[in-house]
Amino acid sequence: MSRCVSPSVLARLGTTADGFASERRHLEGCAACRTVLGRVAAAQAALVDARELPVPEASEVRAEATLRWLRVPPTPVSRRWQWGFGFGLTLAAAAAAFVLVPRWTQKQPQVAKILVPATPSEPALVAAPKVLHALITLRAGHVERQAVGHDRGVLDERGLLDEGDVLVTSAGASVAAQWGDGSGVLLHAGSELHLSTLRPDQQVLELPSGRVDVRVKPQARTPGQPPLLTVRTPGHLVHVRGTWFAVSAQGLETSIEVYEGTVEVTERDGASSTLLHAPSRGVFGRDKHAGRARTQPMTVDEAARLRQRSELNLLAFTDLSSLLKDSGSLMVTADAPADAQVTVAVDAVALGMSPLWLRREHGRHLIELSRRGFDPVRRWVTIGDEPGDLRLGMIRSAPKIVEEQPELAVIEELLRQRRSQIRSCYERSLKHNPELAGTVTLRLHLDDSGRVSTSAVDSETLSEPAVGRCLRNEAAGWSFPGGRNATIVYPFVFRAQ
Amino acid sequence: MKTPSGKIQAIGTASSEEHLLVQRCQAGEREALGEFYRRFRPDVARNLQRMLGPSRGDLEDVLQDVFIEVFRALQRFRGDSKLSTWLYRVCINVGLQRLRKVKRLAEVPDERVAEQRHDQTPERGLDARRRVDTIYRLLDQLSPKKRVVFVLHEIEGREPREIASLVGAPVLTVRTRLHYARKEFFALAAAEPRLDGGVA
Repeated sequence: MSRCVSPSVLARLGTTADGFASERRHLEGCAACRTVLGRVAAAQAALVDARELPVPEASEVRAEATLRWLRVPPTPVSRRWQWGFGFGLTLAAAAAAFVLVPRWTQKQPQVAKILVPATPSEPALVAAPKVLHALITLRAGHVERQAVGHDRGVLDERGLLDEGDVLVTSAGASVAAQWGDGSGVLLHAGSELHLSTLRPDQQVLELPSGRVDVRVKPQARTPGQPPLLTVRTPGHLVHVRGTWFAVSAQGLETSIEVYEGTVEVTERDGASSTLLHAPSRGVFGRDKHAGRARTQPMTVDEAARLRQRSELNLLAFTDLSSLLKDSGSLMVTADAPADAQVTVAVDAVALGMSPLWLRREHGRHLIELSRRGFDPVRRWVTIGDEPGDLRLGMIRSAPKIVEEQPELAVIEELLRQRRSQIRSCYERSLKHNPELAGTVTLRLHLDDSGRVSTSAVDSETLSEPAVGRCLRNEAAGWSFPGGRNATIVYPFVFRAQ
Repeated sequence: MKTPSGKIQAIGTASSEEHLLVQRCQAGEREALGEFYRRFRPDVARNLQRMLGPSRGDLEDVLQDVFIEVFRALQRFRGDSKLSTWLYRVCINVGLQRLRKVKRLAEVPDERVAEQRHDQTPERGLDARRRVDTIYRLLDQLSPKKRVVFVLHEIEGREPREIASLVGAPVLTVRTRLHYARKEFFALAAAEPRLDGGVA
C-alpha cells in the first residue's frame, strides 16, 4: 500500500476534481487518510465561515468614551515634552525642544492614548439629588463604620448607611447592605469600602483594598448617561449596569469575577478598557506591558460555586420604610469554639460564618448550621419585630464506615493457600471418628484493612465441635486484599475419602 | 513611494472625499476625528477579528490601539495610497504586535456572534462557530508572521503580490511563509479531533 497523503496535499485535493490520481486511489483503501481529509475539509469550511463572521458591535461605553474624548480640549503636555527633556543633556538640545514642542502641540490634534477621560464617571449632578440609604442585611465578625464628620466606631447593624460612609471589615468579618430592589453589596473580610455616591441614578463605590461582591438590578439606560454603578479601585474603574460580580483590589491590581451580565473595566487613567461578559474573570494590572488584562471564561460549576459565597441576603424591596417595618433581625450563634468554621444558611442559602447577624422578612425561616465533621443542625424560627437570638449546639458525626466486599476469586485463592491447615483441623478429629463428615459455615468479619477481626461458626452439621473451633482459630490470622469492613460467610464441606 | 511607516508601497490613491476627511483630521477638527472613527470602525473591527479570531476578549483593546496609532500617524499621511489600504497596514502592524506580545490574551466567549447568524439553523450556526473557534486555536500555534500571511490568503482571499505590499515583504518571502503556514496549519488540523463530524 502507498504512503499516506500529507494533510496539505489533502487540502489541495479537496478543492479540485483533477489530478492526484494515486492519492485518490490511496484514499479509497485508507481509513486514516479519510479521517484526516474530513478534518481538513472542516478546517477549510471554517476558514470560509471566518470570512463571513459579522462585524463585532461597538462597545457602547467605549464609543461614548471616544466621543467624550473628542469633546475634551487638547492637553498642552505631550510626550514630546518628556522626550525633549530626556534628550536635553545639552543646553542647545533643550532649547531646540522648547522651540519645537509648542509648535508641534499647536499643529497636532490630541493623539488619543486617552480615549476615556481620566475620571469619566465623576458625578456631575446639577439638580439637588435625592440620596439613598442602605440597609444592613447581614454582618459577621467585627465591622467598623466611619460616617461623614464622625470618628470610626463599631458598626451598629440596626442603623442605616449613608452616602460618604466608610466600612472596614476585620479578618473573618463580612457585611452586606442593600439600597434598592436587587441592588446591594457584600464586603468580605479585610476590606475597606467607601460609599462615595449613593443616589438613585448613580452609585459610586471606592474599594481601596479587599473584595466586594456587587449586585445591581438590570435597568434601562439612555445613551449619554453615566453608568449606574461604578466601583473604583486604586488602578481601575468598573462600570456596571444590570449584573452580579465581585471586585478585588490589591495594590494597583484589580480582579473581577462576573457571574451575571456585563461589566466594563477601565484603567483609572483611561488608557484602555475591557468588556467582561459572564461567566468570566479577569485580572487587570496597572502596567500595560506587564499583562494589563488576563481574562478567561469560568465554567458553569465554578460560577455557581463562586455565586454561593457571594450571596448578599437581598430582601424584597419596595421602599426603605416598609422594609424596616416588615423585617426583623436574628443573631445566629453556633455553640462551638471561636475558630470553628460554622456556616449559617437561611432558607437553604448559605450566608456566612457563625456568629452571624442577619435581617429577614417577618415569618418562619429555616436556619441551618453546618460544620465539617459535625451533623448539620436545622431549626425553624419565626422572625418578628423583636430582635431574636438563636444559639445552637452541634453533635460530632459518627465516623462513616465504608464497606467493600473482597472478590470471590480473592477468597478462593486465600482458602486454596490455607488448604492444608483447614484439612488438618478436620483430620485431627477424623482420627477419633473415622465416619466424621458434614459442613461447617464460618462467619468472618473484616476490619478496615481487610484482616479478620472476629470469626464465628454460623452453622455446622459435624458432630465434632472441635473442627469449628480449630477453623475459627485458623481464620483469625487471615487477611483478604480488597476487603474493608465486610462480612464473609463461607461453608467448608468435609468428607473422608 | 512610501507610506508613513516607511515600509509599504502604496497601492492606490485616496478618494477626494477621504482626502478631505484626512485634511480635516490633520487640522485637528474634532468632529472629523469622530467621523473618521465612526466611518472606519466596522472595517477595522472586521479586519482585526479575522486576524485575531472572534473569541478574544481584547478585540476592543486592539481596536483602540489601532485608532490611537492611526490618529498619531495621520499627520504624516500624504494621500499617496488609498486611505483604506493605509489603515489596513496599520491594522496588520498592530495585530502583529499584539500576537507577538501575547497569544490569546483573553478567551471570553461572545455568544452574540453566534446569535447573529440568521441565515443558518441554530445548530448549524453553533457548529460553524465552534469550528471557527477551533481553527483560531490552531492558528495560535503558528508564528505571527505566518499567521498573518495565512489569514490574508486563506480567509481574505488576497494574492501573494498584494499581501507582499501589505506586510512590506518580498513576494517570494510571502510565498515561502504561506507554504509553511499551510503545511503547519493543515498538519495541526489533521490531528484535531474537534474538527471531526464533517461539514454542516
